[in-house]
Formats: sequence, structure tokens, C-alpha cells
Amino acid sequence: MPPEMKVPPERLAEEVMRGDHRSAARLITLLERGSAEAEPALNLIRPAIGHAHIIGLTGPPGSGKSTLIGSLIRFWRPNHKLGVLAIDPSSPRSGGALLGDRARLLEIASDSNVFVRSMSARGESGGMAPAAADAVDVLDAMGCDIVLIETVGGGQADVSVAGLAQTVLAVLVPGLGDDLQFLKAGVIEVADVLVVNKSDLPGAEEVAWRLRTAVAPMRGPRPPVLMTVATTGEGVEALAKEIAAHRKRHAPTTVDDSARRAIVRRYLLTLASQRLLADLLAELTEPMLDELSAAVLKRELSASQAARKLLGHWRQAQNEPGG
Amino acid sequence: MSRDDALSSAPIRVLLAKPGLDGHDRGVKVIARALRDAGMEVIYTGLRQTPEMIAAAALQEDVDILGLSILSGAHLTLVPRIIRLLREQGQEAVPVLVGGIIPADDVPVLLAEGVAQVFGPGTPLPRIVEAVRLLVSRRKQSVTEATTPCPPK
Repeated sequence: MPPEMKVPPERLAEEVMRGDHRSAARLITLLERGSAEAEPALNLIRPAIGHAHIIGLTGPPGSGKSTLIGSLIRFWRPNHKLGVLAIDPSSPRSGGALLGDRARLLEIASDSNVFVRSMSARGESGGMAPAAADAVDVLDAMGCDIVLIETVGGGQADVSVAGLAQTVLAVLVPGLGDDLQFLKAGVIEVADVLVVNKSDLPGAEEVAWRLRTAVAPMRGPRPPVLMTVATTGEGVEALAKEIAAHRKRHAPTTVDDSARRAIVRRYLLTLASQRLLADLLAELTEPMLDELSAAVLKRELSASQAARKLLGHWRQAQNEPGG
Repeated sequence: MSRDDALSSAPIRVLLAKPGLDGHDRGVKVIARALRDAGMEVIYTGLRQTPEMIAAAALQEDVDILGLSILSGAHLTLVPRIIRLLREQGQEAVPVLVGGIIPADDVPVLLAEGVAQVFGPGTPLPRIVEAVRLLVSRRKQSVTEATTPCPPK
């Protein structure tokens, strides 16, 4: 089955559910491109979805998310089928991306038990990629019982992963000086486990202490604070146990959990607004944008007025039949 | 935007790999940056990859094209093995580029093995970017023209 051949969705879905890496990789590409046969295939694999434990990792760049995933892979791979989604930022100027996580999280050869897919954020904010949720479903359907998502690592706004993952890890390190910055923002609210990585460095104990103090006043279950050294594997077994324990405690109640539902709702609206923006951009023409930008520069229109005009054009185009 | 527009504007996915025992990755990183700046999604595997690791990465990442950087002199051993693995997993249509220190006599050997193009030191970056674009668009064209049924796998 050469990848360029058009494969009927039924066959593609069947192969994915049989655990075929090639077909899973292909389906993820089709979903990323928004091609027509992707949606039916996604519907067809739906019955096989829902078994994987989805784990998200977020945290500032350089905190060791990739290396930590690598250690977790080494710990889990004898007994689990693992899927990894590694998301890296895209360049705002060229739209291109350098996806380098694979190098750090797979020192050992990947085999049929480890499937790693690198994804560009393709301009999305929130640390995720537009097709991340679809790709997680594909990995789930192909039989991965653990799916790890590595977010961009933008720090404070990197919370979208909570809309997708059942267990969210916030990975911090000593010495960044932004520990408290990180806490003030949204990430702490969505983290289920706090990890102080590179804990062999001076200052690790202090970071852990600060984290414990910060979560002490929180209502509900307080996220535990764990120390790891991802490069040596120290503390990784305890982390894996904590992750499993978190799933046991929370997975059955996820659907009824109103806080969780609110997070999912926010993620859903983020995705919808991105789609809407893509639709809008597809309708707008360069001359129209140039003209309106010039009008703003000449102070003939305020930027807000110009934006309203753009939306007006768009709505008009939407109402025209065949537009 | 129609679906075909969406397909043709999807970024090119490139896998850049360094097979074998070769610790020099400055060149490949320059290439990676140039391709990224040309709007492509570049997956870099890191150093000291086995042919099996590279083939698995090409499969899982579903890349449009594969670039191998070799400065160790082991290209005549490594490259044919990687191409054979790609074939075995049904990815013979993925063009393979080789860059690095390749003696002139070895270039035709690599081309005969199925390498699309070989780039030596000093190749201007725009030429590499253009070659990648051309090979990928040619491949996509042959896709739409392909009518033969899938071989059983």
C-alpha cells in the first residue's frame, strides 16, 4: 500500500485498528491536511477508541520534557504499547518547523511497541497542534494503551493539553528563576502531578518546597510534587506509579467532573475558533486586507472598525450561494 | 479554500537523519534550518542512527522526503540498507537525498542504488531547497496520475 495511493476509508480504518503503523501514520497526515477521507476513517475507528491512558506533559522549554518521556518509555515499554505525540512550535515567519523532540526521546530504536509522531503547532497557541486531538484518537485506536503528549512548552498559556489528557504533568526545573511566574498562570490549575526535574541540581528542594506551599491552599485533590533526574532515570519509577495511581483515582469520574468538563469546553472552543479563523482567512483577499490596513494607517478607520468590516465581507460571502 | 488547495499547501515533511558512527552534525543542522525557513516541517533524528531507526522514523512520521547526512565514509554500506528497508515497508516512493563527503566515484553508485540526488560540501542552500521542492512535487504529481492497483503487502 504505497502512501500516495488513495485508500478507501474502510480499509484505512481497518488497518489502523489492526495496529498497522503505516496506516496510522497515513491517517494522521490526512487528518492534519483536513482531507476528505480522513473524517469517515476517524468515525470508523471510533469503536476502538477509549482504552488509552492519555498523559500530557507541559512546562517551560528546556525543563526536560522529551528526556523525561524517554525515561518513561524505557520504564513502560516492556509491558505497554506506547504512542507519543511530540509538538514543536512553528516559525511565524515561514510557517516551517524544526521538530527535534524525536532525537531526545528515542535514544533506543523504536519498535512495534513505540510509535512517535512529531507535529508542528502550525501557528496554534496553547501549546498544542490543530490535529492533536485527532492524532491521539488514531494512536488509541491502533492499540496504544498509553499515549503521551509533549506540548510546545510555551509555559504559562500551555494549558490546552488539559482538554485532551487525563493526567497532566507540569515539568519544572530549578534555576529558571520563573518558578513563581509559572505558578501564577494557568498551568498549576490544570496539573495533576508536579515534577521537579533535574533535581540533582542545586535549588531543587527549594522549588519542590515552593510548589508544595503553592498548592497547599488549593481545594480538592492537591497535585503531588515528585523529584526526577530524567537523564539517569532517578525517580522515574515513582513518577510512573503516581501517574497510574492518578488514573485509578480519577478516570471513572472524569465525565461527571464539572471542572474537567469546563477545561474540555474551553479547549473545544479554542479549536472551533481556529477553524473559524482559517475559514475567514480563506475568504479574504490580499487587496481587501491591504486596503483596510491602509485605511487604518491613514486613520480613516480604527483597527476595530476595519476588523468589523472584514467580518462583514466574510458574512456576505458566506450567504452567497456557491461562494 | 477547496480541499485540493489545502492539500497542495500542506507543508512538506522532511526527515533529516545521520546514520552510523558520525558525530558531525553541523552541516545537517544548517540544512534543517534552511528547509524550515523555506516553510517545511523538518524532523531531525539526531546522531548515530541505525538504518532501522531511520526507516521506522520515515514510516511513523509519514515524511515526503528523506535526507541523509554522512561524513563517515560508510555511505556505500548504510545508504543501500536504508533504501532496502524503505522498500520493504512500501515506502519506495519516498525520494532519498544524500549530503556530505561523498567521493565522485561513489556518486553514480549511490544513484544506481536509488538515491535521487547527492550534494557535496559547498552546495548553495537554495539549490537544496529547490531540489526538495521539485522531488516532492514530482512525487505528488505521479500520485494523481497513478492508476495501478495497490500491490498486496
